[in-house]
Amino acid sequence: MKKIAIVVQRCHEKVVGGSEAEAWHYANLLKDCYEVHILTTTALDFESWENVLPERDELNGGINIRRFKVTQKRSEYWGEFHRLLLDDHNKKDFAKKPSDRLVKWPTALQEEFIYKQGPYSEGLLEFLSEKGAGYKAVIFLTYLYATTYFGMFNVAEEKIVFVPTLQGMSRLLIFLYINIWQRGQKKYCLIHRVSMNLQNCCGETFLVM
Amino acid sequence: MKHIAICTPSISYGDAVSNDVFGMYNVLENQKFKAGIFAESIHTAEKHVNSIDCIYDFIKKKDDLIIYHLCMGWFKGLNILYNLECKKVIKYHNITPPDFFYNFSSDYVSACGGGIEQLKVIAGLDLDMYLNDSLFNMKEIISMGTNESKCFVVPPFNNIEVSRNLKPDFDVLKKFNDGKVNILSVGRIAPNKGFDKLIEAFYIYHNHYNPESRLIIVGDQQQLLSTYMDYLFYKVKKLILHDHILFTGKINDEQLKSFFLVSKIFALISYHEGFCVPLVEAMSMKIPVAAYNSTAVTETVGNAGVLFDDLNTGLIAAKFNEIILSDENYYYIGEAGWRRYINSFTNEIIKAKFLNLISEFL
Repeated sequence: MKKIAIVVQRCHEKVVGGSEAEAWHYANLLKDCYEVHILTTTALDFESWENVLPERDELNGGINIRRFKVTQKRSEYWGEFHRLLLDDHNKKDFAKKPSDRLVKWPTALQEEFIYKQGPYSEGLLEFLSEKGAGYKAVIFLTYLYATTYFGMFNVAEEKIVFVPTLQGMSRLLIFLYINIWQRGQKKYCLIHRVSMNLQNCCGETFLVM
Repeated sequence: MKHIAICTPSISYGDAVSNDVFGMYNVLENQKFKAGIFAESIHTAEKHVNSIDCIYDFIKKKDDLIIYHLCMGWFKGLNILYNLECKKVIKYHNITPPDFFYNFSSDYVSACGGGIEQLKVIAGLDLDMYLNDSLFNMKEIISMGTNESKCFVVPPFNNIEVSRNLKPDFDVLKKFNDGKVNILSVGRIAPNKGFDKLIEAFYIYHNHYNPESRLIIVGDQQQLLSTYMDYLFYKVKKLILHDHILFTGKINDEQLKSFFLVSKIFALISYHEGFCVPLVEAMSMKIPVAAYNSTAVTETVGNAGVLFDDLNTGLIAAKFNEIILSDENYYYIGEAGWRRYINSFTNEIIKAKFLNLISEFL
């Protein structure tokens, strides 16, 4: 049976979250045809990203869940970054085109923002780098977190299926997310109807679910 | 227990030589040897650093090991190589040719000239192994008579992983992440670094392509090279760039990281480098590198940056503009640099190379 990986920042029955629920649905839909591996972190809290769950493999309803320790939680000064970003974003509120409202910080600074936001997991990235080629596809859920952003650099572009789960532009602030999405677009980028205004941002075609 | 002494003329914190020495020390310490750092000029409170005069009490057996970090002329060091009976490995970091300093500092001319003379002596001593920061360095030492079969390349250890987890300096971020395009260059303010050409290239970029730009030059300004600093300041004044070029002087790690974070590209027009760690620092952060294709720069950057063979400053400025304007090229070059770092220059990779080579002495 061919294998499919789903990368999502959290996965646990206690977790209530849109992209986490979506990941679980996908896993259940795919499990009859594929060996499904959910690759996630040991965190439960979406702000602190504290390591709470054991770092191990589990089997739940025919779905393999592999949890990796978070090595960069949310840094104590991430709030300062966020304020800096909001200040810059607010200056661009008047822009008509959605793409002009994105903050185009230098790459390194945008990456620092995503990295220090967490959850960043060295183990997860190493796993993707070493084992990613063994999957038919690697599905990344939600655009916002380090698991997706840095994860995509460790998987061959043709394997990537990207599901940003972005509903509107309100949380889309920095340009780098658009850049990384274009890796996923080589194959598929699944989005929801309300996210169609992304096309204005990226000028690319999305497969709408 | 085997004793291993890492010797260097001078040690402090944060410069390429010190990072390499501490990197080697950390690797050896974890291998269950008794390791120590020995230096003549000590500017750190690190407890494992000892005066070079103590080395004679530390290295006593024939199978003990000295790793001699060769970065300048050093008579005490040379005496140690002559007098101590033990295994001896050279780590050649590079010595800048004295020619670069003739117009600026007679002290540097004699120090570098003396260094080259000592290099020739050490190259001919037929020691147990010669490790080199780069192929460029290796070819140089072979040309001076060292047996080729004893020469290998091991890039210098770096501080990148430590820096990644540092809190940046938010004052720097707020002040310099202001929408302007920052072009960054990092290196000791010395004539071989070609800052004069970089200033000229920036003048054209700033005036013809993007007035909303800034050149940031991070590097220690040494009193002995004040004539060179004056020359650069005069050039900046003459080109009316004083509001658009920043010389930071020596800064701390948090500030250095922050200047990398706010920079769009990393530019280097250096005429002579033995490796150039700042190139790797930039590549590790996906900052596109644009550099003059000289000496060891060629192999450090590889095909993961933009190298130019011509010192025509108009063409260099146009190249800066081309990289900055094209999103697709910009991200491609940045990612290529990062991949080069991941595949060639992480401390894990350097550690494996280093240990593999010196294993015969351990």
